[in-house]
Amino acid sequence: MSACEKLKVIVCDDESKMCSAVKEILDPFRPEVAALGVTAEFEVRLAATGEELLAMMDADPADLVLLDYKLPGISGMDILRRFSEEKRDVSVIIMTAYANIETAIQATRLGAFDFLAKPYTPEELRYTVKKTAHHIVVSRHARKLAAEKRQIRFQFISVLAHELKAPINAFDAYLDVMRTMTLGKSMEAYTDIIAKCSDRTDGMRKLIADLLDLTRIESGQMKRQPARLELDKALAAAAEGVAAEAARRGIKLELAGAGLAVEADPSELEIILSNLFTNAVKYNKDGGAVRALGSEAGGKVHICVEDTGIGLQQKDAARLFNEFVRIKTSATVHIPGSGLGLAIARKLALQAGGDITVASEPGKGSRFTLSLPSAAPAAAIDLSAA
Amino acid sequence: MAHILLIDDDVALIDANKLVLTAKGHEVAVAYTGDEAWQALEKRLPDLVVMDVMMEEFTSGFTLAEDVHIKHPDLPVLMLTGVQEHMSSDWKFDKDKDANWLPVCKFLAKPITPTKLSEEIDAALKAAAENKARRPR
Repeated sequence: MSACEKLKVIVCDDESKMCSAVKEILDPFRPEVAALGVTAEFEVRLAATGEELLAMMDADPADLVLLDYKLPGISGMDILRRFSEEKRDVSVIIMTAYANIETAIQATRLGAFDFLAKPYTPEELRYTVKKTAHHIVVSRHARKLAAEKRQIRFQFISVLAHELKAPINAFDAYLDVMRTMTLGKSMEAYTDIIAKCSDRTDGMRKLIADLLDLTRIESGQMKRQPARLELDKALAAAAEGVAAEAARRGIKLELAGAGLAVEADPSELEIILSNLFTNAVKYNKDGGAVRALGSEAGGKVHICVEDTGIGLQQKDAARLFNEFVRIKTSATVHIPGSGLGLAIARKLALQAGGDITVASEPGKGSRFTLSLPSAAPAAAIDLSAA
Repeated sequence: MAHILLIDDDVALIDANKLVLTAKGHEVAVAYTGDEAWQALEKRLPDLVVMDVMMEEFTSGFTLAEDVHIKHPDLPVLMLTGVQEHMSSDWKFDKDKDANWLPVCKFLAKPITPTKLSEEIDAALKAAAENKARRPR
């Protein structure tokens, strides 16, 4: 069953028989707005004069007005003029026995949505009302979507502003320590806090780089050039990026991806794997291990990146791929991060026809599984090229 | 000098504030999460708490302040906030008005230098001591 969208209708005509006939046709009428999977339903009220219509519109505005052109008091055209001056959100269908091109043009100029020439058949009425209802429902949905989009954008920028302000606040605080010479007059006493400031500038630079990546992905401006990429080479390159930090903390790296190949853009795969490996080291325990293991099933290559780190709760795992989500606990508060890495990695994986999922146990470690389309065997490519 | 608990999820801010407050002769305990804050409060009740309004969840500083007040009604709390009214329509926030319902001595707008924070702490400690002296025994 499709969703129902209720539209308020006022039929304004000085011929009461005409009014009731329209009501009788529209009451049971349920046109479908197929594009949205919505059925329109009408709540019909009647007005005998323009004055009555205006009073009704003030008390409880209608979405759709079927308006007689020739009314005894205030005319149909005057009402249209009033509606457009008051910028009312209402669609008007003008009904007239004096149908000619001039009245049609005049009514349209004044903002009428459509035109019904009297006498009209029930079929013509239904057709015109259906068309107008479609317009009302679609623009209603478009407005709602636009509002939601604005809200999401607003939230994103609010959080971004907070993330950008945090390092600046940290600099300010450290500058205050230096300005007031809290740690004495020797420059050496400040080496530690200068290093911490450098860490924050690095973090901010990473945040800006991630933001640019994210914007490029979302704008579709990242040119994708999918190619056949051998997994063991890609894993080795990603491992190299974290090798120094892993060695410093005594974390072992184990890779197994020989004989597998994925269909992906090289720079995108590099971003995804680099994010997964960096996290696997960052959130690991000293002396732990990172295992990256490839396997193939159902036309996809599955790459598990497993760590022996702090892990995370089930409730946190669900929101981990959202932008700016950083799970803050005593164990993670000292670990820097932009909160965008996994959001970027997952967006890229989805774009490449794959996905990333996570399974984790607090205190034991996390396993991120990246799935990407398998590449056609190298031999087959050679044949087609020959 | 006093025992002060700093609660904030920003390591650098805690670090800088701790340096200045320690130099002024205060004893400083730190907590980066709500859980750590409770542990610190149980270990040793401070003379004053400084907490950030935004912690793990965006508004958890509010609930933490309320919970702390229920358990330790006399403990003075200073709340740091970078929340501005225009930031989000969802959590409209009025510093002056909310100071009435939230059991907080004072809201301090971020950024605040460690030196300024230290002055605010001294003022709050003084006010708390005067309140205590005035109260009938």
